[in-house]
Parts: sequence; C-alpha cells; structure tokens
Amino acid sequence: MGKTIKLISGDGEMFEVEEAVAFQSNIIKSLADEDNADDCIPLPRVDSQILSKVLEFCRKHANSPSVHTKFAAIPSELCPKHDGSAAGASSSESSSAHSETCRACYDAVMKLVQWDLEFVKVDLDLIHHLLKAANYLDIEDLMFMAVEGAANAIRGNNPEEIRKLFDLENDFTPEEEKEILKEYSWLDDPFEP
Amino acid sequence: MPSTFHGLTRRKPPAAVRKKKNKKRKRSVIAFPKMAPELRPEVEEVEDEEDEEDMEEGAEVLGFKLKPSASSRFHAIQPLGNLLLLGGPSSSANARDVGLGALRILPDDLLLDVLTFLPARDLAVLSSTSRSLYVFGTHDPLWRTLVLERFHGDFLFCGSWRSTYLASASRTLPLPPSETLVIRNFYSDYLFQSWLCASIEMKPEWLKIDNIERRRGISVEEFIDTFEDPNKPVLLQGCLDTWPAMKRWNRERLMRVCSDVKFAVGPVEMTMERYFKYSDAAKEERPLYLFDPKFADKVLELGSEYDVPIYFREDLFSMLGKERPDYRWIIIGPAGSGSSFHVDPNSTSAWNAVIKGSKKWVMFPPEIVPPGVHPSADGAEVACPVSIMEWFMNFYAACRTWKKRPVECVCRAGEVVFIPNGWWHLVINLEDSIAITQNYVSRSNLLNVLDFLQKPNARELVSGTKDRVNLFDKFKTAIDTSYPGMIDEVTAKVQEKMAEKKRPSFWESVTDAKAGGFKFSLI
Repeated sequence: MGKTIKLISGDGEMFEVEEAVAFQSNIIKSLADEDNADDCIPLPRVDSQILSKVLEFCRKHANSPSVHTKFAAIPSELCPKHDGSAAGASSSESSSAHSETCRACYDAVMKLVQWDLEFVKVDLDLIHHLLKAANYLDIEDLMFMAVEGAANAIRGNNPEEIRKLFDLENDFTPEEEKEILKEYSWLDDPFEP
Repeated sequence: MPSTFHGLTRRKPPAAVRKKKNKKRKRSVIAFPKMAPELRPEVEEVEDEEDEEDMEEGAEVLGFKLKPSASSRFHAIQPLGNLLLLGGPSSSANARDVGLGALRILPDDLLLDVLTFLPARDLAVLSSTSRSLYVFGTHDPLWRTLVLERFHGDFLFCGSWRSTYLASASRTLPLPPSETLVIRNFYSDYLFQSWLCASIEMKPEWLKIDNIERRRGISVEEFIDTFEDPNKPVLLQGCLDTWPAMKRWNRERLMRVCSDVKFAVGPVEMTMERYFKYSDAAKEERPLYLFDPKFADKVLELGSEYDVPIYFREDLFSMLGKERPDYRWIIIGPAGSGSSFHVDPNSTSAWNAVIKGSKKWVMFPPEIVPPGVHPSADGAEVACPVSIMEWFMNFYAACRTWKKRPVECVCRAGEVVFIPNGWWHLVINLEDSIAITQNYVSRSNLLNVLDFLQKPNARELVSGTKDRVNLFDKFKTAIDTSYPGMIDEVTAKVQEKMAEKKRPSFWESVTDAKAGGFKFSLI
C-alpha cells in the first residue's frame, strides 16, 4: 500500500484510502497538499454511506485515465497490454495515436464505462447525493456519471411518471398545460400527459 | 484564433462511446447591488412589459441597457436577491423550489448539466411537468445543442433555438414561432445572469479606454523595430486602402458570390444566407460566429480580394506549403460575438483587419494572466469559464486598478490590429462585423515558435494541423533548406541584444507556469 490519506465523514466515520484513490477528488488533493499534521481530512458535508460509495467509484478509477473527459489522451504507460514494459518503444508515440489504435486500451475503457453505467443505476435519492458529493469534492468522472445517471432516470418517461419520480407538483393551470402540449406537438415523437 | 476552442473543447471519445458533451461552466459570484430601491423598480419594468411583443428601446435592468426585444420571449426571471428583499418565504415562494421536488437540492448549474444529456422529447416532457422545470427546460442554449447536433447547419433560425428545433422537426410546414409561457416568481441567479448577459449591450465606460499605439504609413523596418521585435501591440491605419474587399464585401454581394457554399460556424457548417438569418435574430450570451479557415479555398474571389499588409509578409510557416497549420480566417459575426481570453496557437503572432463594423480589444502581455482566467500549469488547457459579457461585468473593473493595465482599443473598418505572440486577447464585435485575420511566423518570433514546437507536450499544445508531433521537424527542415543559417543568425542577434540590455527580455521573464508564456532556450 502506498501513502494513505485519512478522511472523516460528516457523521464521524474514518476512511483510510490510498492517495491515488483519494486524489481523484481535486478538493482532497489540494487540501492534502497543504501541511496537514495528521493527514486527516474532515469532510463535514458528506456522510459515511455516501462517502463509501464515492470511494468505491474512486477505487475503480484510481489507475485509469479520466475516461469521460480526457479519453483521447491515454498515455501508453497506462495501457493494460503494454503494462509499462514497452515504455521505451512507446515513448515516441503520441498518446492520442496510441489510444486510437490500441485495442487493449479501448476495451479497458469500454469496460470501465460499462461499470460506471451500472454504478449509477441506483435509486434517485442516491444519485442526488452522489451528484452533490461529486460537486463538493470536485471529482470529474463521478460528476459526469451522476449527471448521466440522473438523465437516464428521466429518459423515456411521460410527464406523470416524472412527477411521481421526483415528487413534483403540477402547478400549471389547465390552459397553460394545453398551451404547452400544443407547442410540443411539433416534435416527431410527441407525448401524452 | 482557434486556440479559444483548443482549450475548451472536450477530447472526443471513440464513436462507440456516445456521450453528450459536458459543458461545465461555473458562474462567478454575481455582484448584484443589495439596495432595494435600485433593484426593484427596474426589475418590475421587466414584469410589466411581459404582454408586449418587444421591450421598449432604452429599457434598462440594473443599470445595463437592454438590446431591443431582449426579453419578449423569456420569463421574468429575477435574481435570488430579490426573493430575500421581498420578505419571508410565505409571501412569495420561489417557483423554482416548489416545482423541482426532489431535484431542488441541485444547484442550477448542475441541474442544467443533467438536462444537457436529454434528447429533445425528454427535455420537452420534463418542461411540461411543472413551471419550474418549464423555465429550466426552455433554457435556449439547451435547444441550441439539440438543433446543431440534429440538423447541423441546415436550419432556418426562427426566433429562438427551441422554436427552430420544433419548426425543423415538424413534418408539416414550419409554423410561426410559438410564444412561450411567461413564468413569474422565479428566482435564480444563474438563469438571471444568463439572461442578462444575453440581453445587455456593452456599457459605454467599457469602451472608453483606448491606450493602444496607433501608426499610419510607417515602414516595415520601423514596425519590426518598434513593435514586432519588442513584442508590443499596435493599431495600424491605412493598410487596407487598396483592398477590393473594402468596397465589395457587403452582405448582398457575399451571399451572391458564396451562394450555396457552406462556411464553418461553431461546430457546424452553414451558407452565408442562413447564417445571416440567424445572426440577425439571435440574442445569446455566446452567439455563434462564422469563422472559417478555408474560406479562400472555398470561394476563390474572397482570397483574391484582400492582401497581406506589407508588415506581415515574412511568413515562415508558408514554407510548409500544404502542411502548414490553419493560418487565415474570415470572421463574420453580430454584435456580442467574439472570443474570450486566449493566446494564439503555436506561439505565432497575428493581425486582424476589420473590413466592416468594429471590434473592442482587451490585451494582456504574456506574463500577466487576465483576471478570471485559469490556465493549467502546462499551458495545455485554458479555463475561461465566463462569457465575454460576464467578463466585462465582473472582472473588467478589477484590472483597471492594476499597475500593469491591459492594452485596449476599438478597431474600426479599415484598421488592423497587430497581436504579438504570447499576448492574451479578448475581442468582441460591437456591431455586425466582417474581418480577416491571419497568424504568422516571422524572424522575430522564429525561435519562440521552434522552442514551442519542441516542448514535450507539443502534441497537446500544437493545434491547427493533423500532424502535431512532426511539425517541429518539418518546420526546422523547411527553414534550414530555404533559409540556411537563419536560425543561427537570429540566435546570434538575440544573444547580442541580451548582452546589451540589463533588464531581462520578455522571453526570459516568462516561465512555463504561466500559460501562453514559454521558456526561451538557446538552441
């Protein structure tokens, strides 16, 4: 185990994780950079249930490139096929050329993406909390996935189903509703209320 | 100058991984005045106007003059401060929270991020569930993405992006744009700021400072000695007098000459005619503008009706022939379009000539990062989260008190601005404008360019060409072939100059940590 970071959740639980895992969060990274005597970082706004989910995500992503935001720039050192052993040969390759042609990299990324999609197939309440935690801790990939997870929950539903999903009140007047449906009747896939 | 988008665009995942682009844009803190009297009457004006088609000319919000018909389509969104001023939650509940249900814990920008993932039908469904989601779901930039992704450049803009989508998607003939519902009692800083930036005109005081040096009819030698070598900006007059473009380039003729040819507009390509239909009608925070590096190839007349001003004719990248990176663009855009802060790619210098209209420029030297701009340490990415208007509203005042103030000017038709390499610049069209800009490499910045191309992360930094890594090799070879000994000559000259001066040169005083700068190394 390399150097570890201690994190304290809002409800007082301590999590000890490797740096590579914790530093997925830009906030934790910058807090750890400052001189911290105990290496103990308090995270008052994240409770233990959410934090453990967040760390699960970070663990999975710790040794992968940032999948959703920097895909094209996978350096060949991270390629599962090359495993760092062919470092000499691949150092002259441009990294984007590498990842565009390397099947092993592509497959690894796709697997990670699939894992991510499963990870956010959870109830909306958890997604909300993940979204807020990812925003607060500034974890790019988790942000991206949680946002997509929330969007996935919305897709394919009708207005009444969405209202149930998010516990929304329909505060339109009947005339207003009619007006809106009229506007959207031009869509090639119009919907019923 | 394409480097604006160089840092801001996401790298593309492979086609099989279909993810929508995630545009993260954090708003800066809005400095709204807290005084109720100043605030309320002006905002009430917005509410009163809701029944009229267009706002009266000269209407104002928060001391900003609004563009004509700025808010006819949009809701009377108010800043969050108003809610506090109007007294407790019972008297005027924020329609926002009431209508969001479980989603209300999300801040506005996150909620909009979620919505960027939705296809049109789902966005429409969502916006019909509650008043609050109607306001969010009809946020026009969301529909802009949908239009551009589905229809590319083949759409006729009708008033708003949402109307455009609906009209274009309809299988029957396009209908007149529908009026959106106006939702009141909706308080949101994010959306209010977005509306404000889309609707206001430039404040006169932002245009007042004009401290650039102006010259007319100077010799090439004087230009090089006084401006190019010391890397200082200048506004040159009288260079465009012989350009046929000055007399011939107006809308009607351009549309005629270019007819069905499509030009690069943001992420898509459009004909001039469709572009003008859009630019006349659009009221956006970040209007699309026409910015095409292949204009002279697409329409030969365009290339033949202008000439490189004499000062910029030594262009060493031209030796790369077809392999040279993109180097010249036609720029057409309405008032409000432009580029937020960036540094030009490949360490080149540039000139920008206004044929019609006028532009406001704000420039900072390489070693000074403009307020509100965050370059990464290696210079590979520049985060300019704010739009041009927002920058002026929130950051412009800050730098006016600095010791090293930016160079500013308004460049009018017939004038040319010289942008020295490495300089940060922001430019905004003050009216409908047509301009030509070129990037180039001359003897003065040859070494900087070579140095830049040699950097270990060149493959990320170098832009405008498909063959990034080999650009250095190709360029060096081309120079050594066509101008043997030039590199040594220039190096010697620089060493001589540095030995003379006691102060460090621009180059030496700049380090890698400040993006846009570079470490000067003796080759």
